[in-house]
Amino acid sequence: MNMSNITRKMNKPQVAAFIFILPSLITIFLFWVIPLVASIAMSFMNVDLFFSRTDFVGIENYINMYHDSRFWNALYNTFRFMLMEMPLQISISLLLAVFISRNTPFSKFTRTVLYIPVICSLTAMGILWSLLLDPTLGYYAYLLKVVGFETVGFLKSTTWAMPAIAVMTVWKNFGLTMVILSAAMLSVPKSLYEAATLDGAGNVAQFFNVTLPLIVPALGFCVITNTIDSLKVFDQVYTMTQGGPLNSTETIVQYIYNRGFKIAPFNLGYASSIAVILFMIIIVISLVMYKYFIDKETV
Amino acid sequence: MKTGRSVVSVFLVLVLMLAIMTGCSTNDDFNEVQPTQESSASDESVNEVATEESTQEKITLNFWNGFTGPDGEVLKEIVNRFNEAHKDSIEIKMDVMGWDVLAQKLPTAMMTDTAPEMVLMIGDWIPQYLANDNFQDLDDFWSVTGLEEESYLKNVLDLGKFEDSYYSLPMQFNLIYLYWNKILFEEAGLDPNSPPATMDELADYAVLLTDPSINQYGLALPVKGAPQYWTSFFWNNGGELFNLETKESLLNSPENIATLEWIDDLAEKGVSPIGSTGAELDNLFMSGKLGMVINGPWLINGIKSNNIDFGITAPPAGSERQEVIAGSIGFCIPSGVDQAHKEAAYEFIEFWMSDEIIKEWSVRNGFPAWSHNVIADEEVMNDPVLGAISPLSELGRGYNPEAFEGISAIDGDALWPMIEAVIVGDDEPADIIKITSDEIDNIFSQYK
Repeated sequence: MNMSNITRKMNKPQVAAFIFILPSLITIFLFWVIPLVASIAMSFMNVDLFFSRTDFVGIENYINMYHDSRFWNALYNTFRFMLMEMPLQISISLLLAVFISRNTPFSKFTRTVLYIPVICSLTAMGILWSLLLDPTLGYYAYLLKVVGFETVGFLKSTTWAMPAIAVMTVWKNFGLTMVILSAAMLSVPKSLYEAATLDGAGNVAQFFNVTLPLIVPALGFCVITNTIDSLKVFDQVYTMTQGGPLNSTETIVQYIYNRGFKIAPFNLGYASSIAVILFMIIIVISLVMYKYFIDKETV
Repeated sequence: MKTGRSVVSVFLVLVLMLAIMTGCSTNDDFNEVQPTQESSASDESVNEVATEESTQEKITLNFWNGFTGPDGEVLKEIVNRFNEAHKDSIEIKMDVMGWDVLAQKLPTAMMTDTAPEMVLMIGDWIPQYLANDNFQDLDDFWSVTGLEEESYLKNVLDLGKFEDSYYSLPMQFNLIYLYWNKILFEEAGLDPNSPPATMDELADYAVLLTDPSINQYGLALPVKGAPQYWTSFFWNNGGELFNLETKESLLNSPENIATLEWIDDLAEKGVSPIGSTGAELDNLFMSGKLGMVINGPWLINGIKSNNIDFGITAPPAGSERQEVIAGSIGFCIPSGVDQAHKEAAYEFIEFWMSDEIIKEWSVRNGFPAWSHNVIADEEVMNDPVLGAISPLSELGRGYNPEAFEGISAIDGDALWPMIEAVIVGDDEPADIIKITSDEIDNIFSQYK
């Protein structure tokens, strides 16, 4: 192979593109692929935080997980959070995106203001909300009292703690979803709306028959990423309730943290096996949703 | 226009790169390159360590601890004074982080030979490190420094002893104490200078101090994030939690069931906000809305700065005795630290264990003194807080005297969930105790 062949090959756009994404590929390999493979390997071992013992135990961790009621409770809590948070976030974002998609100064200002929670630290917001929701010192408790209601310890109640965390998460993240959907709405050709108007369609009919079908790709993206994020919820649970009261908000990732880093014997092997199960659940759900939205798009 | 946009684009890229580089930079207090733990003056990599002085005699000690609060500033001052006095021979570089962060970083640091030469450890955490031979024994400290064990309280030194060897030397020692708000006592018709002496009185006072209409509560009953205040309740009523020698649960006893019913009764009477953490109840006490709280001496400076008129004493006696859980934080030296660095660490620990520093730490932070000379010091005896708590030190009792490495599982998976279930849930105490006792036995079985 002579130099001119090599140069010709390197000048191909594909090669250039590969070189440009190589740093990202290396980063993904080092910080995603290797930890993933290591986690899968550790899930078949008994290994503690000190790596003082590394015994291969086969599928024993998975069998123990099957019999672990706290794992099933964490899985139930995770799905409960996802089913509360994701639909609420998508619907609120969709509704607000309709209003801020108008190209007026007020819409632009509102878009910016509503995006502010997105750029705040999730940990800091979790701490802030736990202070606001405190039944004795919190501002929301004070407001409830002012309007004549009894103070409610949202984060102290097994009924209300998880909805409170879900609401906080929606408040924190809806800005991003709203901006994505708004951008998708703005790219819908105006001629379609004009044609719909001429056919006698009102605003609501136009939304469901013109806007919604044409923003399916963006909507699908938001639904899938939201679902993945809510299945991996940790920061806000850790800062607001630490899984309480009575493990009613302990999610899968919180349980992984507790088993691997907080409570003896700090069994990283068992924690890894739970992580692997979560990974598989997320993959399956993501693929099913992706297929659904691809089919919707092609229709 | 195009040129203007190019200039702006380049400027934005430069700003982004600067931000990334700033975000990736390390803390000044923390070494960029961790020194290896072998003493190797001829090793080129050691000479490249930015933090080493050019002279080969000067030793740098990396010192990790979790003192992120106001007492951490006092610790920093004391370390700086030591560095100033030893500027040609020893430099201590302190890395302060939250205790939970330290607990996560230290094991991996030990695994990768990047552990500090000296670390402060919460007493209850040490056994799990000893199970993996992560700390050195410090028995030669006394012969190297010339200090005498008899100068200090034996029960305090014993908190750092495991299987008859010292693995930790005391940095501070504490019991947990009953704090009461004297103003609230007076308003409730109680003598502000007479705290409850028995658990029955504690319950009565808690009810009297509770007034939900003004968000005022009588007694803190946290369900997590607090010292194990309930140990006094169980021990003082004649119960035991577990036997660490035989590794069996002793929880399911008539005495303990009676104690748990007593706690349940208080929770139902609303003496404490349901489901609160230790930090939330500390804040409530410091805002003047809580009559009594049981917590450690780290609360004192916060109470004083909030101008609460308070008293401090031991948690009250039960039907059988009066014992209080004792805690400590001590100096530990990881395995693999060479003799030169170990002796440098001994020099600092000797400095810390001087009467001057023990007194300063006690007076400035409110922690009880633990050397006989300081306990007898007039200034300490006349201090209203230290004078009250120093004589209580003999009531102290270790929570994990047998260095059981699974103690955090007993706390996290059994006892704290039991307390939470009683205070927040509706189940019967006898049923909860049975389930918890079985869980403790299950945890022990994993270590037999």
